[in-house]
Amino acid sequence: MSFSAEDTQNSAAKVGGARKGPDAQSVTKRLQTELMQLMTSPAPGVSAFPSADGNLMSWGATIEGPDDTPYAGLTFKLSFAFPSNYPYAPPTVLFKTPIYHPNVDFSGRICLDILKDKWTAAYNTQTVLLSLQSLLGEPNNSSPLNGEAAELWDKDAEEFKRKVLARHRDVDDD
Amino acid sequence: MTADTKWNSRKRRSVQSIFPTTSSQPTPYPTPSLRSTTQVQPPSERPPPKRSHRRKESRSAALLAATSSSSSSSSEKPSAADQARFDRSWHVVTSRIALPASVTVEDSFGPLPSSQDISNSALEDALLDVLNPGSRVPLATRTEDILVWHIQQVRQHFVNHALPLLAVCDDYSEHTEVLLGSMRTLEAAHRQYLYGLSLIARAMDRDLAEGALTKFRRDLHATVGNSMSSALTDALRTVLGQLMKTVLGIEDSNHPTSKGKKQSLDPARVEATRKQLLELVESLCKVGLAGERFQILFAELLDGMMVAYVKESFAGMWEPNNDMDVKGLIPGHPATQPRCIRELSDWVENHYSRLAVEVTTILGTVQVSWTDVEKWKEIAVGRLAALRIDELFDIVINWPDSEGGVEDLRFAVTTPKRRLQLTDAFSAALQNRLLHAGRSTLDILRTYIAMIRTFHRLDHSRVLLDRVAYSLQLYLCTREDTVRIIVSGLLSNPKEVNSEARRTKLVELVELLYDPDQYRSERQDEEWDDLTWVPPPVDAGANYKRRRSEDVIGTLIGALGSPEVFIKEFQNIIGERLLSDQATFDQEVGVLDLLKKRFGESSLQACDVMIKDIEDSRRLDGVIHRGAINRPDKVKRDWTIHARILSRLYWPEVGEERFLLPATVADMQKMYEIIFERLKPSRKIKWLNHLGQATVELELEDRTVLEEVHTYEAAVIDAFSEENNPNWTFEDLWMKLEMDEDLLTAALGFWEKKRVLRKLPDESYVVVERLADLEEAYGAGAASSAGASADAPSTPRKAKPGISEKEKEKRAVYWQFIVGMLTNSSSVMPLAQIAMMMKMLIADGFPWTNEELQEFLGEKVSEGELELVGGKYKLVKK
Repeated sequence: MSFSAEDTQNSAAKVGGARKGPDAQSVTKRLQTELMQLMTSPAPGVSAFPSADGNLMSWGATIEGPDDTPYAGLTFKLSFAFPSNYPYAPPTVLFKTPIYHPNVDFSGRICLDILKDKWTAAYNTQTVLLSLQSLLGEPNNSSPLNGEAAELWDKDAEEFKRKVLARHRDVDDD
Repeated sequence: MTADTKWNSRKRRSVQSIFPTTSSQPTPYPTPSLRSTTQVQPPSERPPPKRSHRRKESRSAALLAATSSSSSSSSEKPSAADQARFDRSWHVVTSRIALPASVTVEDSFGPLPSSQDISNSALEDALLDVLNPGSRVPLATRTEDILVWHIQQVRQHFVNHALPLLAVCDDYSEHTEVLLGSMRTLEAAHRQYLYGLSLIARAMDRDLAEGALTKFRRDLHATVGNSMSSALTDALRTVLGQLMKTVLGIEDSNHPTSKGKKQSLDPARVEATRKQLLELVESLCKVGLAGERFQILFAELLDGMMVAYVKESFAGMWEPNNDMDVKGLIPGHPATQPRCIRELSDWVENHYSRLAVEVTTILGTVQVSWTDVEKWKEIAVGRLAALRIDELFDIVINWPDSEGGVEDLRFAVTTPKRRLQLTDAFSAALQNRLLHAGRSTLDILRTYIAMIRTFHRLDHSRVLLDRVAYSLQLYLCTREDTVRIIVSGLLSNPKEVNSEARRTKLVELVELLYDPDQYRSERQDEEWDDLTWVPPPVDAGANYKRRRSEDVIGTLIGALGSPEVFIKEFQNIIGERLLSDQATFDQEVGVLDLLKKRFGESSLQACDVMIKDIEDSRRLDGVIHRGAINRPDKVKRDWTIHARILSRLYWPEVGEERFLLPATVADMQKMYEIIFERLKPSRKIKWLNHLGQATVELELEDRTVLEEVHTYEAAVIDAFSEENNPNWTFEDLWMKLEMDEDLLTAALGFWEKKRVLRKLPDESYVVVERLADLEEAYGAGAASSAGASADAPSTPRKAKPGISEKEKEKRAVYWQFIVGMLTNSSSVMPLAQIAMMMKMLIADGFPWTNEELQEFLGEKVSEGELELVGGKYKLVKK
């Protein structure tokens, strides 16, 4: 099950790579606009910024765990890799911070429909981050990547919380 | 005696080997003796004239000896007799043709022997003996060629006697004298030398004599030609140069007649000079100075003449060709030659080549063919091109009075090499003469316009222009006022074109804007029905696009980088104008329409909205006023407020200065607002108080002041009208009006200047009710200071100590960027990297310098938001 999910993600990335568009300029422009939007009207608890090497196609992002969830008070780092035909293909998003979550596997891959087949060009970095933030509070337990977490979420909230805290550690990428 | 003679001869030989001069002396008369073998032997006695000669001579002697040995070995006596006879004859001849040893006067080498001597039969006889020793004295074993001897003697004589005389001539101060003296000397020497030869030739066959003469001449000319001194060469160059200048019609550069105004030379004088010149060449030829050196000299002079002529006749001659219809020219087909080129080829054909042909005919060595003339024409055109290239910058500056010059260039500059030379030279001139701090942007732009037009005429393909304009465009980008000058030029009044305004505004642009020629639409694709199509020039760049019209405005705007920059600035300026109290905006609308054609509707949409706003406001204002009249209960008696309603999103940032308006005005505003919002429910008014105009009528004790002033100035003077407070200090006013200090200062200054307010010694301001009070207060001396302060700027200073709203917003966004960066990209970053990221990522550009950013970050550090660790910034964890 987890394999099939991985496959879809890979094929999406491949489609993105294959269509190396002549409009690299428009991708840059779009990302710049998104960045400006994020900066001028930031959403609480999420932020994102291009990576330090100045490559606009790969970003870093931060999500604060929402209150009233097992993740409250924790911050999670993510990486965004935008395909060259963005926004017609979704970015590849990974959790950099180890997270214990039903829809995230141990290497940080995420199972979220809008990052795969439900992606449309109307989404952007901010909406993806907000979706991920809400995913922390409401995991989709029908298609888990981490079966144990999905089970615990329903059965033993205490244990779940313990596992979350045990798994979480701050990463500093430099 | 024999021993003595032997010794003598040996001694003489050794002396002669060191001082070979004696060979020019006649052979001593041999004593007639039978024992001639012991006698002085004339041929062998002389030193060897030259190696080659000697070898040949000895070989022939050996040959003679060999042939005669068979017959003469039996009888020795006849051979001795023959030898003696030959020797005697040799002596007779040589003593006759020997050249005099010393010369006193330059033009005489001693008197020529009288002609009757020539008929001397003894000499005839001797000559025959000497010339034909084989038949006349077959047994003489040692014979020699008298001709060889003579040329040898002449050579020695020339070196020993003629050369010193020539050296004397060289010392003359005048070049003409040097030349004449030398010529005279050489002619005399020639006469002398040829006399001897003519004596010998007399006794020879005609053909042989002819041959001997030619050979002698050649030898002599070689000797003379190779001994030409530098002073003589100089003299020849000067004299010949002068003559040629006159013949070719070149003005002397120091001639008093004004340059450019060519006075035709007297044809008679030209003819006389031509004759003189040809005679000179002829006599040079005769004396042997017309050798290779002369030919080189002549060629150099001819070349110099061409340069001089081109410079003399065509420098600064850029008058347009009146005699040809320029408009009728098909671009790219220089069918008709420009006037200068035509004149130049005429000159080459009729004067230059003529002279060359005449001189070479005399020289007889070179033939001038028609291809040579054609080549000269080409060279002359090249010279003209070089001249014009040097002048190109001035030609550009003087456009359009320099059309002729451009036509010349268009005709002459055809090869890629010359085109490259042209652009190189022009770029250099551009750097030297235009692109430096001393030139105003207006100057540069004006020159650029002239360049665009000149180069368009020169080369329709624009390749040349693109090559030279690049550095200029780069430079223009460094000038901040470029865009503003262009836009205000475009918006200036067409009536101003020939007025004073030319000095401060780029009014030419208006003419261009309305010139239909500039607007020939540029079709994107290739024009298949274009009969004047020519392939792009070979030196065109990769993304070359053919253009037809000169399109000055398009090129200028193109130089600014992107049309966006231009449109933004245009919006700013048109905004200012729309807000001014101008009655109509026909000019603006007209310019806008023309610009739309160029940039497309959509890019200038904002300007459309702006103009529409102003028009709508007028209508709306009327409607609101009518609405107000209908409800007199709410509105006070004089409802005198008018507003212009701007759509915030479409107008350039106008900034905002807040201050409190007088209560009456504020009431009116509120009323206006209510009515407006009823009319346009979805919209809301925000007042920009500082942008308005107000009419102020002040009734003072001795006068009434009526002024059209800025709103802030009105607000300030209104404060003084309050009953209870006749004087205000700056601080009090500031507190009351909540006005920006700069605006307040400006307003107070304005009223002081108008002699409505004055400053008391305690720094407070009072109203000047009577002008007499002012004079009293200041005394006589103060009047001038009041006058002086009139020059002080009345508009608020630009540099504001506080931070405007816009700036604050900007800083908030920048801070978001920095937080985002330090959260997500890297948690610690040095200043330079932050600055780099900001510059790269902010789409509208990041205008701060590193210092400004550092200051900003420093503030954040002191606010406790950031910390600086080891030269790197990081967010303070909370």
